[in-house]
Amino acid sequence: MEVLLSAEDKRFRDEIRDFILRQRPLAFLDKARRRVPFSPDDHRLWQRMLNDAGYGAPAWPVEHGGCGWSPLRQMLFAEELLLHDCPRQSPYGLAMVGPIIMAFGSEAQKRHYLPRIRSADDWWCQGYSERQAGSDLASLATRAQLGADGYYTVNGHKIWTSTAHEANMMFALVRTDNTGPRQQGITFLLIPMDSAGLTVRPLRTLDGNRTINEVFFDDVRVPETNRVGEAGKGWAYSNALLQNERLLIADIPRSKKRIARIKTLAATTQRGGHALAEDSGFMRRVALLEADLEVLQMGTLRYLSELQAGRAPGAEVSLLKIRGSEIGQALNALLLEAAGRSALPYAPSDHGADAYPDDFDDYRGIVEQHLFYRASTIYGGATEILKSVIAKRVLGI
Amino acid sequence: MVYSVADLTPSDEARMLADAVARFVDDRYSHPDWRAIVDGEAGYCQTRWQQMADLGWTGLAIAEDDGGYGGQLAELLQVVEGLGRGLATEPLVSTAVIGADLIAQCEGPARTCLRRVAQGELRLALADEEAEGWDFNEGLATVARDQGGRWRLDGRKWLVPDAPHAHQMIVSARIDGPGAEAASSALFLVPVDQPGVEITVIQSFDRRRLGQVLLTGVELDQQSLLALPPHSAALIARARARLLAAYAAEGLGLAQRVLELTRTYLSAREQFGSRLSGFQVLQHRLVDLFIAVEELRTVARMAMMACELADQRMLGAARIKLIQLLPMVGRQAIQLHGGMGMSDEYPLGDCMKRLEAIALSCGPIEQALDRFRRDAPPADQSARPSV
Repeated sequence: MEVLLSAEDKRFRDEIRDFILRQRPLAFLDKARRRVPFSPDDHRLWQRMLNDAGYGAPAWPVEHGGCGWSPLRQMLFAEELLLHDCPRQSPYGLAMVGPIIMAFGSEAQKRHYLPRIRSADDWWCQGYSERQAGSDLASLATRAQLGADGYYTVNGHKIWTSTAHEANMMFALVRTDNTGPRQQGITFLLIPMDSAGLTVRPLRTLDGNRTINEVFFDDVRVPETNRVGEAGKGWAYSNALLQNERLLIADIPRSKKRIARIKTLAATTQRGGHALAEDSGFMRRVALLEADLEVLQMGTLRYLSELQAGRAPGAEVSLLKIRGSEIGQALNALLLEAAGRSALPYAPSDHGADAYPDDFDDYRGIVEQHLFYRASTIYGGATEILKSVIAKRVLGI
Repeated sequence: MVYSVADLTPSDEARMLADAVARFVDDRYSHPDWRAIVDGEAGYCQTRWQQMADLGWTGLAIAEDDGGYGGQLAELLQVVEGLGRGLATEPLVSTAVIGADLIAQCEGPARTCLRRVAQGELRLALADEEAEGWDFNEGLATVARDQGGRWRLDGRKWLVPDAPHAHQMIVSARIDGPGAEAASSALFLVPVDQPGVEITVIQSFDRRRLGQVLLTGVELDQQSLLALPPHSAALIARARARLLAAYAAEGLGLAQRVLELTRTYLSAREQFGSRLSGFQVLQHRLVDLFIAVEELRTVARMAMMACELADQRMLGAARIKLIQLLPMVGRQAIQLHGGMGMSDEYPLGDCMKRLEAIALSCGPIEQALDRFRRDAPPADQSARPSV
């Protein structure tokens, strides 16, 4: 990718790097060194700091307080954050609900919510999936009934809700009409998490941590003014911006970090009297994935250039997510192999940084990432679903 | 031991035993119960352990003269396979498949303890590895010094399976001093409560207990010496082969459960107005799982035979397939379950994690492949295919 960057792009990147190196809290560095995950407070603090510096919303247009950067620069920015051990920006406000409010929300909603997303005063979670509506999202059944008093009454149950226990706001798809086609009875609501009747229950994932939750709605009252756009159009709103979001979902910066970690580990790990880094069989498998990743990044740039030329790519951009998640999983598996039995000792991060046995600090996070990241080919459109969509919309079969 | 092609399938007796183990697991290993046990203080269930002994499983492969039932490895592995399906953490492999067998291979006073193994009173662990390296555990740092009829052990052992559950450990140690014996290691039987033995309990991601074992000036009498080189080296090779066969059996038991969970889930779950089992792409992925289970069935049999025939080539093939298939089974099943598979409350995740841990314990794939190539039979000119 490096060779395709213009002098301005590189200058831009230098500025970002310079900002990060000057402003990044020392605690982040320490956590990254000890491979302790960032806390919700770290994420909020960093988002506030970015916003104060004018970097709060890289993808948003300037009129909404965003940077108005090109997709390439957004990509460079995200990569710099991750490569320099800073929390990545949470997508729920910035990439998901923000653009929907911009496109379909009322003026009052824009004035109220958009600045609060940038400043991290609001922290959002996404209330889409339900037990019976995962990949088949349109079958969602959480009901919202509008009363004469101008309030919706919401009843139902959401599941796999990431960070619901940290968020103060949820953007949700709810069913307001059962009569027509399934997709047309869905409405987009903004729901405060402290509403009476709303309960959040942790749902621990394979890694033993609480990242996702179940959310129960028992006669939760939500004012009509918290509806985005028109009733019954929630499905269309939530899908309108999906394609752009998938352009940057290939998780390339994280996979670059994974490759770096494999190489570090291979250099320090002894196998039968020599370093693992001297094992050509293992290192060739690393190289193969590095090549995969190079091509994936170029592919992302290719779609970005089409976008800039005014030819918005279609459903095929999903392949970036398909390949990105596969490559990420394969790299995690290689990390696991590099660790060998040293990966066995384990304590989830939720049990505290000290629960993990000291002797095995070099391997901290490898199993955790491996286990949790199995979800990457399931969430945000399961691989099988995305392939069906490409078959139908792109290949026309 | 002589095997024929007929031995590739379990005998009628072995099938009956498998049914008994399946009933034992179905009655006692509900997932919530299992969770309570593995997350409890001990990490395994003493009551179940005693029941296993009472059913004759801990003494199954111990000779009748030594107080056991004189059964075959094949039968013992049938039990391991069945318990694998239940994710059992009771230390049957460490105690019965490895420990008791090592002791039985040695002459001397230690043999008397086999009776106590059969009765469920004694649990064992093998403390051999000192770092990653299935194939190259040479030049041990743990040393044994001969102090005129007594031995003194110093060193450390790494991530010893079931050490926290054991009463006695079989410890490999290099004999200190000049001479031919110094290069390879001897085997000692070490009580865990012997002064100088320190075991730090480590919890693994598959909810097992491992021990970091520190030996500082552990004094042992002559009766604790189990075997000297070269006998000890052959015994360690034997123990590793049996461990691999046990992993194969346990992995097979787990993989069968994973396949069944996934098949049931796809048949019950509806999306887009039809059962998931109706989608061809998912059918094919389920069949891939099934093929893996069938391959594992073969692998488990091969590994069992390879132990008794001391056939390194057959064992090597089994090892490679285990490293390849076990993680694939778990990961594929999670994908087929979608978001449901990511839940920590659902048993699939625990099966997946155990499969991953077994694969890691079979060693790095590169070493397995290199070893397999080294063990290749000499080229047979007459058997060359025409080109």
